[in-house]
Amino acid sequence: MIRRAALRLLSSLVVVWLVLTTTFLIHHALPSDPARAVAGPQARPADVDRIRQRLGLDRSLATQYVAFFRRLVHFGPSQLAPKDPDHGSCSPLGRVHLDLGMSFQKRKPVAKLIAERLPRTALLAVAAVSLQVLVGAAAGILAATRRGKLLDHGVIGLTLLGVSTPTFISGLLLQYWLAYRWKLLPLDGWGRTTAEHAACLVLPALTLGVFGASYYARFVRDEMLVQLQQDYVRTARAKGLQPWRILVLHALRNAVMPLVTVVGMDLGALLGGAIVTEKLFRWPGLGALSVDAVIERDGPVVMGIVLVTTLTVIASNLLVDLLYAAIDPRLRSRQALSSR
Amino acid sequence: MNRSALLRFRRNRPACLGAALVALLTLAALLGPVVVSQDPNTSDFLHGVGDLGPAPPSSLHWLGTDTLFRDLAARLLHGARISLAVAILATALAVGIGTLVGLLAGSTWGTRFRFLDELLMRIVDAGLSFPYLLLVMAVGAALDRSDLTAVIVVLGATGWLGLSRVVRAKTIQIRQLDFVAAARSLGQHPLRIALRHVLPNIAGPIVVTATASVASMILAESVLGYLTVGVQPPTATWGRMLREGQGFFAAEPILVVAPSLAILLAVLGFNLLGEGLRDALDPQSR
Repeated sequence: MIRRAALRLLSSLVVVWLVLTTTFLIHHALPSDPARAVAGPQARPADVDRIRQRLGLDRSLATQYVAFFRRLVHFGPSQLAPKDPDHGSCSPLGRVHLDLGMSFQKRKPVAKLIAERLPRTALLAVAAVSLQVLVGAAAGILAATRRGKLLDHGVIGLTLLGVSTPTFISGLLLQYWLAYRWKLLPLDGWGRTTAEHAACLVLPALTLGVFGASYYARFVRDEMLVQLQQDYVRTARAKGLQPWRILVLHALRNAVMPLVTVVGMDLGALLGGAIVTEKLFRWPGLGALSVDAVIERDGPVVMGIVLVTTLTVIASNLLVDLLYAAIDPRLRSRQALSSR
Repeated sequence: MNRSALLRFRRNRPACLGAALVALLTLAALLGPVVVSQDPNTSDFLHGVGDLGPAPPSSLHWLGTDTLFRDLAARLLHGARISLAVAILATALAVGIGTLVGLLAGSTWGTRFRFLDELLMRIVDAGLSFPYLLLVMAVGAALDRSDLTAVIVVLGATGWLGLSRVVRAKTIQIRQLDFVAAARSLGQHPLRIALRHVLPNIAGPIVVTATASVASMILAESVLGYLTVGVQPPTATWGRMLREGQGFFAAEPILVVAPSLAILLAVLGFNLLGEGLRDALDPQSR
């Protein structure tokens, strides 16, 4: 068991390292100049050079690469003096410091920028995923039980439309009708009070939810149909169990397994920021930040966001595996056997 | 596709609708610019610009013009060309890489070369945890004026990951069947087994995945256009047209509705076609 966990951790670290290195290389292979992006198009060459030196971009590629990883996690004093030149962009966790550097454009520590925006993106992700799981699973189960009937065809048709509509179209329509014409909700933004945050959350969550719920409904329907044809369902029916019991306690429990994987992947991906939806509704989360960072060539921010995204994907994969063991007792016994 | 599969496909009405939509789209992309002879990138200041807004539909401009007085119908049809070209070529690239990687990983699974399988799948994991839009935008920014080739290469190079997993799983499944064991015991070369015995048996799922992938590539291309990092103006792409028209939605809804419908119908067509193919090739899956 310990060996498995250690292997898992090691391979996760390798994935993180691979992703960070790729990002680093791609970002440095880009021809446009970050120092020029900071200085502005009118700046004199001497000023651009000065800024390049200050940002540390005049060093060799290898030096910058090593510096990034040495800085990423290092030791330092647990109490930071204000304006400490050596630890200006650190987030100390006791004596261990986490440092993603300073944003070129926003001149704030990247760790702070991300810490400020991650909760908002997480809020949107959780709202959207809960919406799509609830609505999607309900529609999928209903369609599966009414297979070939009008309701089934209705769900299939509507959900196909749902998965074929990009979020910038469905979002725009929702925004136009719900916010602009009927004035039920704020057009976009984040708001100032908790009530405003909640009101602003509805449209982007709904936009993501429509797409996701359609996808989940189709997925759950297909899985349920497979399960309902299994022998154990026939046995349960022959024993005279109530239909809802067979549906929920027997078939659903088995159909839910593959859904857990998909939900985990979606949650991981959404935690990295739903770029289009966040942009459309001016939701100040990670997705909007990452678009700006790529366009403005803000290297430290790009690296920071990619690190967070990769970690969330890996963490959600891990969570999925743990959930699998919790839902399916067979996996637990298999693990117990293999650890012996 | 054998006769019974063809029959199943033809009896499936949604699948036929999908095939019709795809045929229509292809026709529009191939012949459209011949039918609508307007240039998609030329502003026409001479006709119907009296109120300074976009010109309404007329015999000259069938759908009117956009806010820069360019013919909307011509832009839509040229957008269809871009969309279809990008989606099909990127899918071809993705299917090529994905099949190769999946076949290689699946064929080395459980053999003494299993480290290759392990390595390839870790690369796929890393790729899937990589925010692909970010990658696309980065490469777009790298080429500064991202042209058609850049968009195709980026979408193709990021689109194979999911497919390679499907191919690997199917390969492993097929490899455990008796006829493969027979071929192996006859001393056939692993490469020959992979290409002659495994590949033909997984062609169905590959075709189905590829069709669905065309739909998602059309979506991805329009997202890039919408985020202004796809094919650069003045070239007409549906996503870009949508973004340019977005601010005028209340006043000139056609500027948003037309490209939206185009994207929607194209994606819907390929999705329906893909599902129809799946049901026809693998009847148990319904």
